[in-house]
Parts: sequence; structure tokens; C-alpha cells
Amino acid sequence: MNKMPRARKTVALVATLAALAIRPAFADPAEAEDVAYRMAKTYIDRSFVISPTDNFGLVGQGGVIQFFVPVNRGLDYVFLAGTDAMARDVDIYVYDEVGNLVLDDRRGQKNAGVQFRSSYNGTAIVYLHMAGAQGIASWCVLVGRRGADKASLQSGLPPAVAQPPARGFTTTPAPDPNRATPSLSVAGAPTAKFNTVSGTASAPQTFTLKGSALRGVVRLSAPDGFQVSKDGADFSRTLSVQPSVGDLGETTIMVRLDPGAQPNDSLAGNIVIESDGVTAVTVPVTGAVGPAGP
Amino acid sequence: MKKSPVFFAVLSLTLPVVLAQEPEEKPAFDKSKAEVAPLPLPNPSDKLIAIEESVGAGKIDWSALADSIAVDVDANEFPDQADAAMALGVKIADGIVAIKAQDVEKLNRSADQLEALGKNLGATDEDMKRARQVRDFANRGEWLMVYLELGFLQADIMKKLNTPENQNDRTLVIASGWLQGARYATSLILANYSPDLSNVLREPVLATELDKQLAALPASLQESEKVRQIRQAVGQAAKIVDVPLTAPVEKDKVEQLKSVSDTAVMAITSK
Repeated sequence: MNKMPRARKTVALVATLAALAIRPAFADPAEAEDVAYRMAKTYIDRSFVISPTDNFGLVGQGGVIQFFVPVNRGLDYVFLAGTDAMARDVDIYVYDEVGNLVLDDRRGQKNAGVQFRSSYNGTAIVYLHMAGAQGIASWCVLVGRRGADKASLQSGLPPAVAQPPARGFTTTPAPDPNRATPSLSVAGAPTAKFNTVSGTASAPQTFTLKGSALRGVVRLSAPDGFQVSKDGADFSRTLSVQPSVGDLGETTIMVRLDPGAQPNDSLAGNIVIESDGVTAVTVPVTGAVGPAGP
Repeated sequence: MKKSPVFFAVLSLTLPVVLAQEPEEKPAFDKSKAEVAPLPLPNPSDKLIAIEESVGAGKIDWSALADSIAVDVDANEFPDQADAAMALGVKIADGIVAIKAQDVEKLNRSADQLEALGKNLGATDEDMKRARQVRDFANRGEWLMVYLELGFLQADIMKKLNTPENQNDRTLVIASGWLQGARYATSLILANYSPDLSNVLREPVLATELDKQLAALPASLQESEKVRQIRQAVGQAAKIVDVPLTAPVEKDKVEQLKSVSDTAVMAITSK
């Protein structure tokens, strides 16, 4: 057998190494989808109903994507993130509606998954963090759910692939002793008396509402004869404002006299602003409604 | 020993690879900088499973439920892209209930209509290649795989709407699917009403977000009677499902939610 000359061997080695080093350096969404699909099959074997959220995309190192995931009390959920070869480390963080971190997977692996049981009906806020990537990486996320009866049938199965020990969501989200105290505040409350005639809305006045660490929706109730609105178009006696993961940025509220109010020259009361776990805030308003013109 | 040029060539090719394997410190996780993903595709599975858990396994006649609520649509009657998008949302919800019913005929009918509507939205046969797998798994009775494949089929169709110019249609698919899902969920809850069960409908974050997205649709779409109906229904629904964490949705409010959803879906699926 002829021996390959040393120089040719070296050239062949260099060529092989070059081929390995110069791998295609681009994101591959199809690969991320395939990886997620394979992860899903593991959970389908455990009776999870899995479907894509049609959420897939590209992200660079350090990028964070937020997902709204509808959840129902007593159901088990899995949130799976598959990635392509460009990804090196992807993490998942699960928050409840009011901003408590209840579960995460920060294991330093290129695919991630969390499993939890929801203790409430509503929405979980899930974040995908691309903690490590070469350039831009593709991701594909899948959500699965199953009833508790299915979970009990599967209790003898080994731990899932890409699944840290399930924790969190086992109790109703409750105030964490270390968590910030919820707060609500208003600024620029109307000082002028509202005036109009019956059948016509008064000119609106505004105030701003702000909150942090809130545990639920903020509800506003206006006194007789008054209406409130967030957009200046849809006015009503009551209004709900949804904080974003516990925080309510400066939100302008418009107030006016109800065009349906009966003539009354001494309307007065408080707009009451409430949210779970926080002392109600009031905004005093006064106004007068004259009789409609001839 | 003197190193040859070949050694340095090898070193220069391999060093980046070796260095790339070195562990790096993770960048900090900062959720305030998150890019918000689009709202998820309508999927009433969660609520239907939660209701079934409460009512008792085997006590819901899913096939009868589908017969009373699913709406057949002829894609030829929805040449307008926005109209096709709204009808598609309805069929996505119908497809999921057909799977719950484990009814191959109903599922195939929904899949056919999904494909036809998908074509109106610009999807090609290649985009909808998973439709065959949906049918294959259904014929084999592998219903959890049907869920997965149907979900990917829907996602492949939705990819056509993930462009900036089609983003509004995407919102319409989600809103109409959510309303059709609400019809299924409210029917079951009214038939088995209890304050505890009614809390299944609670969904303030998503419903409010959806309401916001509908309000942001361009004026040209807001003029459509179907869009006006859908926006009105979601606006009312968002208020109804916005209850405290463990509070019930009162029975008259569940009836109201069913009524506004019925009206909107009938409008969406009419010519």
C-alpha cells in the first residue's frame, strides 16, 4: 500500500480543519423547529397536548423575548425552547401575572424547558433569554398542557429531558415577604369644577395614575354624574387598567360629566381607585349640570 | 523547535474554534428590555381541559358540542384577506374541538377549510404540507400528534401574516379565534355553572392586550362591519373576564359573553 506523502497529509489535515472551522455561520429556523419538535415528542408521550404558539424568531446574545401564556388552575404546563447551532445557552424565566418569579431554567444549555402547575386562571409571563449565542440564533417555542388526571397516570415516568425540577405555581400567587409593597398614586387631580348642560358631556379634565408591585388590575369607579376614560373616546362609570407584570407606568385618566346626568348644580364625590393589596386612592371631583337649552 | 508555516496555519484555523468553546459570563437577564412576542394563536385547549377536569372526564359530549358551535366556511366566499383571516381564526378553534371529539370527519372538514382559507392568505401547498400529516395521524388515532401537527400547520399559515404589512390580519385571526373559543367555553360553563368553574374564563391580561391591538387597527379596517363587530365583542369580553384572581364570573355575565361572541362569530362567518 502506498503511503501518503507527509506534505499531502498536512494539506489534507489543514483542509479538514478549515472545513470544520468555516461552518456556515447563519441562523437556521428550521433546525430550531426540528429541535423543539423532538422535545415536544418527549412530552406528548407524557400526555401533554402540545402546540406551537407560532412564536419563533431570531435573537442575538443577551436578547430577551416576552411571551403571554394563558394558564388554567390545576393544569400542568411545559414551555419548551429549541434553538439552532448558533445558540449556546438559552434560559427561561416564568413570572405570574403580578410579577413574581416562580420558575426558571438557567442551566447553561442550548435548549431549555420548564414544567409547572398553575394555581390560578389567567396568564403567565414567560421570558426567553438568549444567554449565549454566536451571532444571531434561531429559536422556536412550544407550549404544552395536560390535566391533573393525566399527570397522575404519568407519575412513574423518569424526569423529562431538558426539564429542571418542577417548582412554583403550586400555590395561589401570594405576597412574597421580600417583595416590594404595592403602591398606587395619582398626580394632577382636577381642581376646577366641571360644568355642562344636560345632554352634553362636559369638557374633560385629566389626572395621571401610577403604580408598582401591583397584584392585580386597577379599578376606577366614578361617582354619580361622572365618567372616566383611558382613551378619551370610551367613557364609563367604571374603568379597569391592567398593570404590566405588576407595574403601571404613568397613565392618563380623563374625567368628564356624563351627558346623561340630570340637572344638578352641586354634584360632588370621589373617584375611587382600588387594586388588591393596596389602600384605595380617591380623587375628589365637583360639578354642575344645568338644564338643557330650549 | 522552529514551527513551520503549516503549524501556524493550523493554529489560526483551530484557535477561533477552541476559543469559542471557552465558557463566558452570561449577559444579565433584564426583562425590562424584552421584545414582546406576538400574542399566541388562539387555542381554547387550556380552558376546555380545565372545564373537563372540573366537570369530570367523559362527561362532555365533545362531538355534540362541535355540532352545535362549529361553523363551516366556504373560502370562496372570503376573497378579502381580512375576512379570510377572521374566518381562519374561527376554524382554528373548531379544529381543536374536533380533536377533542376525536372525530376524523370533523377534523378533516376543518383542515380542508383551514387550507382553503390559508391559500386566500397567500399560503402555498408547500406551506401547508403538514396537512397530510394531520390527516395521517388522525386516521391512526394518534390524537396528541394531531394536536402538534395541526398546531404547526396553523403556525405555517400564520408565518404568512408575520410581515409588517400583514400584522393587522394576524390580530384579526387571534381575535376571532378567541371569540370562537369563548363560545365553546361559555356553552360548557353555562351547562355546568358554578362560581368556581366560571373563574376558568378569567383572562384579563390577554383580553386587554387583544382589545388594545384591535383598537390600534388602521381606520380602513375599522370601517369594516365585521371588524367593528369583533372589536365591540372583544371590548365587552375583556371587561367580563377581568375579575379578581379567585372571583367568579357571574352567570349573567357568562351569558352575556356567550351572546356577544355568538353575534360576532355569526357576523364574521357570514358572506
